[in-house]
Amino acid sequence: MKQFTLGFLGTLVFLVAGVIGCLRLGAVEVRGDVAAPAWQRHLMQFAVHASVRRRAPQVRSSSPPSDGDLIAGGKLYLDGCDGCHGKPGGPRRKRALFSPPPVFAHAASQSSEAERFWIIKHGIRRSGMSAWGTTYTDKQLWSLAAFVGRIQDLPPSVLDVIQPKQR
Amino acid sequence: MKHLIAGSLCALALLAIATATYLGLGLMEVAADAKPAAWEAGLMPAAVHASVRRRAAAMQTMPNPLPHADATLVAGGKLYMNDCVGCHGAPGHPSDYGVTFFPPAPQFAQAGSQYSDAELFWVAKHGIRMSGMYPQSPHYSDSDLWRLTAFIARIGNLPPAVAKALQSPASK
Repeated sequence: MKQFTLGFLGTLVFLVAGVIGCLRLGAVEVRGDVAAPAWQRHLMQFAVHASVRRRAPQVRSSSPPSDGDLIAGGKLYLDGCDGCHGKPGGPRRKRALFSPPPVFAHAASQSSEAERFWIIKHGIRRSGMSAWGTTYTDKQLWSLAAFVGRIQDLPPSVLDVIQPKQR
Repeated sequence: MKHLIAGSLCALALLAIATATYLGLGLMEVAADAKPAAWEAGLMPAAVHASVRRRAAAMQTMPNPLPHADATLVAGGKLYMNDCVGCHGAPGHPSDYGVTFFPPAPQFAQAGSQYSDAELFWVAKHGIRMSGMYPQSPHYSDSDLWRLTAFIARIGNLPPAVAKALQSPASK
């Protein structure tokens, strides 16, 4: 039993010291222009989504967004989000940002509307996604969440208002 | 010996299960606007700096190749005011936007930088993984990055002539 405890505690101490040592010696990759291994990307996406799911409000929008909601959200989107997340119908690649921000016009959001609301409001740690809760009201955040959910399938009347020149 | 190994394996299994539970149940904090724990706020910036120091080591002894001249600082300042100021703030004007990231963007004019010239150059060029700092090498030449580096290193203590040149309407 003594030996068992020794092996158990010794391993824990060794691992903790190893992790701190690796961090302090600068062994961790920090380059933003080198792709992370696939297992790391998948694991972190999974863990982030699990955390957002747990923290996001458990509500569902009662009705589909009105054109007015989508226009309000679209104007905010084209003001503050399109630099990283792309315009409706825009090109696939924007910035070489680590980790690459989703370009919603090409890769539909995997989150629910309430999860998107939460992400925009609070941001995502250790990513380029900042917290917008101090910039926008909850109502504006909901309109953004609705707009992003419909960005690949916007009514022409909405597109005419928010992107008049391109059409 | 057998028991020692069994104890070690049990510790490894327990850690693997604990990690999977922590990540899978969504217990990891992801909100960028939540304050980090003290140990995290102390350990992680030090780990990033240690890694940059190690990776930029080859060029540590290399001084900024550009002349130490006001013209260099003005050129770097123009680039900075154009592209960096949104997150990193201007002299006398910290960025409200930069602090909404996690980790927050350093406000150079207020806080200065703990990084050497070579390290600043390296960070600007390659970016920092798992932060909002994206690599600038597709957008700027190495000489432009050195101009930026020179400016950031002096941003809290700019020669009056440079500060004036950057404030005049002609520079905007």
